[in-house]
Amino acid sequence: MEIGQIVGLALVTTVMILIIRQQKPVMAVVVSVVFSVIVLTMMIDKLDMVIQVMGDLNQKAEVNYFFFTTLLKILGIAYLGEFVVVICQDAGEQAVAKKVEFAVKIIIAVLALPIMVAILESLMQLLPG
Amino acid sequence: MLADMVRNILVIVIITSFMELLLPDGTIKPFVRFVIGLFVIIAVLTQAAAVFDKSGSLPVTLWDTAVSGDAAASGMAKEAIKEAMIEERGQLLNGKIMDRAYQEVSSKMDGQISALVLLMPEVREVETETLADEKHNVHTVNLWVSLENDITGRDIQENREKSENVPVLPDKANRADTEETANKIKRIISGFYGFQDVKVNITIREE
Repeated sequence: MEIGQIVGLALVTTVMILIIRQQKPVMAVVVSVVFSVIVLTMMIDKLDMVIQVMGDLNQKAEVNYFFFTTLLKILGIAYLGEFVVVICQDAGEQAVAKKVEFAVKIIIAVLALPIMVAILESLMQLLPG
Repeated sequence: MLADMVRNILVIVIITSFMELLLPDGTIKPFVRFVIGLFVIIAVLTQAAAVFDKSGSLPVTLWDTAVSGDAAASGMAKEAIKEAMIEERGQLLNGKIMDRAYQEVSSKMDGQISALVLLMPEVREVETETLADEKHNVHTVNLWVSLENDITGRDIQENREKSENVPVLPDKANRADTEETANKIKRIISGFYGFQDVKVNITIREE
């Protein structure tokens, strides 16, 4: 059971961080990052399966492929951004976390722009005047 | 058709709701939710465009790369399906562009042929129609020509003067004139455009 592995690893990591933080706070952050990377690696296969199923459903529903891939990209960027933001906050670097958030928001806006333009142009064509 | 539309929209709403569940909590969440909302609007608009916009010129449908039943049914690999989808949509777009370009060229050619035929003094009015095959190669040119009334009358008079003793029947002379004019038009068009296997049909309109 993967959940057992993750729960066990999380408990061990938490205890380790609690102990290490007293002596070497920098190492505590490193342990936290390593744990995050391990969990992410373990979940990537499962996430891929979920995305494949959603892609298949999307294909059956005959929805625009371009927009669907853009949405998946945005989801990935949000996950990655949030992951880094939390690590930065854990390390006490609020300013860096805010910068990462800002960058993620801009990248999402840029990716969403073609969708917004397409919707607006279509609406203008459908509802003239 | 309506059932298909409702089914498609339902599937999309379920997919997007599921995606929203997957979203990480944080300050980025509202942004992604907004984009997911746009995705739902796109899905509804794509279906609406199928009803209201027959030309398929809406930006939403132009980006549409939904896979066709043929590609999905043939059991192709995922990457190959993606490529086939893009190629298929590309070919469709290309076909639309070529059709529009051909219509433009065809109407210009009709006008050119009409102008060319109108240069003949015998011709008063002309209508042209060019027909092409699937590859846009012209195979037939149809012309409806109205001749000047005084041409045939004048010709008959001239013939009468030239052959005083030989009676010329007006109908016969008229028919000979129109046939000659039709042949002349055929020769001019074929010569000007270099038509080899193109059929030129000329219909002389009776006044």
